[in-house]
Amino acid sequence: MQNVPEEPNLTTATKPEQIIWTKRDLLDLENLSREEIELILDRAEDFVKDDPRHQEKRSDLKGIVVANLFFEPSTRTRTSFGLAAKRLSADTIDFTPSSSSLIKGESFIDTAKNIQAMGADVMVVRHAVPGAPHLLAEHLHCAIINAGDGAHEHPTQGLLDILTIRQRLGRVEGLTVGLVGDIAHSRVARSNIHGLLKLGAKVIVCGPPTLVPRSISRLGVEISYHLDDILPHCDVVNILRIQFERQRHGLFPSVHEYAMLFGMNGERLRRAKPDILLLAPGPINRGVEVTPEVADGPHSAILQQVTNGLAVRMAVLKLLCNRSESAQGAHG
Amino acid sequence: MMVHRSSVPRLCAARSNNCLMFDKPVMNHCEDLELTKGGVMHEGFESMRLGLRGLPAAAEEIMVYRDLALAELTGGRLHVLHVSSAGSVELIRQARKRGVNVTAEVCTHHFTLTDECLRSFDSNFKMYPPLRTRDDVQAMIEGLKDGTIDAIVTDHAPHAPEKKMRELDQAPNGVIGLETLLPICIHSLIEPGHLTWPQLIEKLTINPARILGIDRGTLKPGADADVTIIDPNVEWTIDPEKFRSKSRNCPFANWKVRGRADTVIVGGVIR
Repeated sequence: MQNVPEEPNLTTATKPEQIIWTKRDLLDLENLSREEIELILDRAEDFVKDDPRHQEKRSDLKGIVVANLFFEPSTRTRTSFGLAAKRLSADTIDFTPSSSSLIKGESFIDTAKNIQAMGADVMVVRHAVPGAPHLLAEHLHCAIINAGDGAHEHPTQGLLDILTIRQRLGRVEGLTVGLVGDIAHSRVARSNIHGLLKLGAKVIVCGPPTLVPRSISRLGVEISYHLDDILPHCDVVNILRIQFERQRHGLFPSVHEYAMLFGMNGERLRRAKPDILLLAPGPINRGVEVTPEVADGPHSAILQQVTNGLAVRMAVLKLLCNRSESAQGAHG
Repeated sequence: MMVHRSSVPRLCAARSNNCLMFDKPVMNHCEDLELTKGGVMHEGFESMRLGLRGLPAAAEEIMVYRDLALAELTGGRLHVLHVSSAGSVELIRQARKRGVNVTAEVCTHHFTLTDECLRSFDSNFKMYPPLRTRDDVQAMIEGLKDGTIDAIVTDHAPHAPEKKMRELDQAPNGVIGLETLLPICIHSLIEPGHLTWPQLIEKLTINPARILGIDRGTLKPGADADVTIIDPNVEWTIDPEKFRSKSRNCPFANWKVRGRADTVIVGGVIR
């Protein structure tokens, strides 16, 4: 955006008050400090281009091997991580469970150890079970990035959502952010909550009572069951997808009723602040969570989120790899 | 004695009646299987935070209540296995006051550990009933103190490391407890002053024998010489690698504890 220098120079762009990244893995936002989150966001800004096609190829990760291990389907996150690694000149491995020995009964830890033995420095892991990336971090020595573990966390999605808010509205602190939809089954909701609260935003979670666990208020968020009540107070609304694949049955009566009560449509948008920002982590069910004219309208930042996702993932890969280089240097 | 998980009340009531003939209790693992389907840990704040499917306390309490009502209906004797929720303890306490013939037991981990342990995503904290909250742990201790809970058990469940070292929802339920039973009881019950030594020994020996209706658990003349000699003061660190048990799925690894069995005599023979 407008703040990005023509020739990003990462060594001089470092602000004096910025901390040094020390963590080997990126497993969740809950255990990051505000400073660590801001460090990633600042580094990501350096990689943001108005048009990603003009992103020049850099040599930061030359000789590094980045492996994508997606035990659960993904289009956007997987492509985004793969492209981020390639933009930084890393070598990449793409692992698909259907074409692997998992179906022959190999445990997923053994599968990951084999890929590590091929020389992987970084493993990007998506898994349907919460804690699966944490388990790999326990048993492997390469860096692990959580690309979504069940309903637990999706840290890079949380970071790109927050980066988009910061770019469009200039700040995060003091804003009111509504997370709308299936909170119970959403890893995006949890990463958003931890990241936004650490950066000083107010968070309201909103959805049908069956999809909003009451205990979530203990994290420091407000709960609402009525979108129309909270909409006039929100600076940002993040529209979460209904996780049909993770739900037990019978959590709400019908998709039609859901769309009536919680779908973001043009008429509802008129109740919102005039400069409201709409995010959606995707994939979206058009006509359910959001109508097409809203998804493609001026308030929506859906495509900017995708672009920012690439920048956030480049920043995370570079921070983790620089850390491992300097750690190796210290030992050698 | 009958251990069962039947969900057909009429059948349970019949069994409860039938057991009267033998002076044996119906022993039930209280779990509403519909409510626990797919669950991994106690349902509450921690399961919400970790995104893991919950096993609600209600799944246990509904079955405890059902069995108490059936014991009351038939006059049969009920023993509730491994109680874990504060609500269950209270149901049993109230039933006993009404004269229902009921006894209960608790596992060492349920009066020592909470669901916060699962933040490590370590399957050595995965069992059923699951670890619950601090309030539940406190209720177990209160139940032991006022006699609502008669016995302390391990629910010893060995699993091979390769079975346990898996994604949390695929790892089997259960932990081992035989070799940590005594030091954990000392740590959680004797040292804080919740139970005296005689009370603890009663809950580990006399009461379990009485519940099962077997002639064991005493030192009276003529009884089988099944004796454990305890050194209550020896300090040691729990290291599952050194267990006699082949399994390592222990939730107390690396704990510094006090007290250990010094000598074990079974049927008069020193082991």
